[in-house]
Amino acid sequence: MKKQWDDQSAINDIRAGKQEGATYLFNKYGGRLLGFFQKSFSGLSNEDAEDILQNTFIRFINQVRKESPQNVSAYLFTIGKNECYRFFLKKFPPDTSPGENDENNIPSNVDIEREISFLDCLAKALKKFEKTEKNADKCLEILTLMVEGWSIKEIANKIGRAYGATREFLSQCRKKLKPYVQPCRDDTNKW
Amino acid sequence: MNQEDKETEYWLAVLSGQSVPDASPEIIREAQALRMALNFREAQTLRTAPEFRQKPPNPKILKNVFKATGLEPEWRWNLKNILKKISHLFQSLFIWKLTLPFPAVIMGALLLVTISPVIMQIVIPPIPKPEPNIIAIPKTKYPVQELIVSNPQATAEALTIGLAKLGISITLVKEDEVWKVGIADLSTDNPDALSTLLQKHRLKRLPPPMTNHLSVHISAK
Repeated sequence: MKKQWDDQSAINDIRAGKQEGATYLFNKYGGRLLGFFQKSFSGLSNEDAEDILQNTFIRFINQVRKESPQNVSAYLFTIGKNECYRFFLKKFPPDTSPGENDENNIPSNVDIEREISFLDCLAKALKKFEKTEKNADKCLEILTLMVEGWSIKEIANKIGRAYGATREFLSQCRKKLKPYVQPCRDDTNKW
Repeated sequence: MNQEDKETEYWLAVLSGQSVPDASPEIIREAQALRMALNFREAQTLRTAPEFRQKPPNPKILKNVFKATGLEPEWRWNLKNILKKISHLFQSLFIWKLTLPFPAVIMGALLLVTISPVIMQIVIPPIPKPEPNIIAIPKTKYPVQELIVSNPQATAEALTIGLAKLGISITLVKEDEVWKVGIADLSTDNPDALSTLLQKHRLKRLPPPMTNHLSVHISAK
């Protein structure tokens, strides 16, 4: 009789050391994770995305053996996100920008883990910022457009404001974000 | 442009993916991490969107994952479990806890099973086969009584069983279609029953000193 799988039974199977549970989770979430990686990094090659996926599942299985997660999907995507960032940090170390990769400037594992911790903290800070601050959603929406490569002029046109007002709005967003980001900087600088 | 404006300029530039060599490492670090966090945030909101529902990825990835993590297929896992149980069983059987590795124990067990019949032959003396309650007597220096019946085998068996019930030892031999019954000692605790049995088969006790001997040949009509 064919076994009826769900996330929890798959986790139990992995913890017992068997492959079938991992195969179920791979088939269920693997495609979505690849999409998530490619959405997070425009221009990420299929090969790189598959490498990240492989590392995500290896880390996931090793973690699951130590501790059973409550929410498998969220746990898997968090590990995937961190793997993405590891990949990014190795490819573009923090003191270079994309396109300036220096092969000799690969950060140590400690540096990478510190930056991942910083990113985790930042993600939580953004959530807190979104819940607490007025116009936070507008700020994050416009900053996301910047990340996607829109110029200030293009953003100004999109939101129907003047260039100067848009530039000022972005500056205010940075100021509002600062108190949320600062604790993350302080924490990771202790490493 | 004051220092803060300049920093915001650099911060926005790094956030949009540009390279800014003049920016301080802290601004680059913060803007790059924020860029990543915003990317993930955006991707997270689209996690359930149809474009994310891709086909399962290359199965080769999964093979590599299994190689790296040591997960095993269920059949191999079950087999290992069975072997483990057998191993535990063996360990519990050996009171003195042999410190041999499991394969050595298996090999030893197989060897033991193979050579045990030989050892048994050498060490344990052959168990004598239980003898029937019949003792041999000299075939015939005593007179023989002849019985000619329709079924000599049945008669011989009936006589044998009857005498055995009275605790009398007999020999029964079949030679050339003749069933030969020999009794060396007819003494019994129940002489009446013996008389009845002998009468039933039309046999007579011999005169002294041969009273306790009886030799009967039973053949077919």
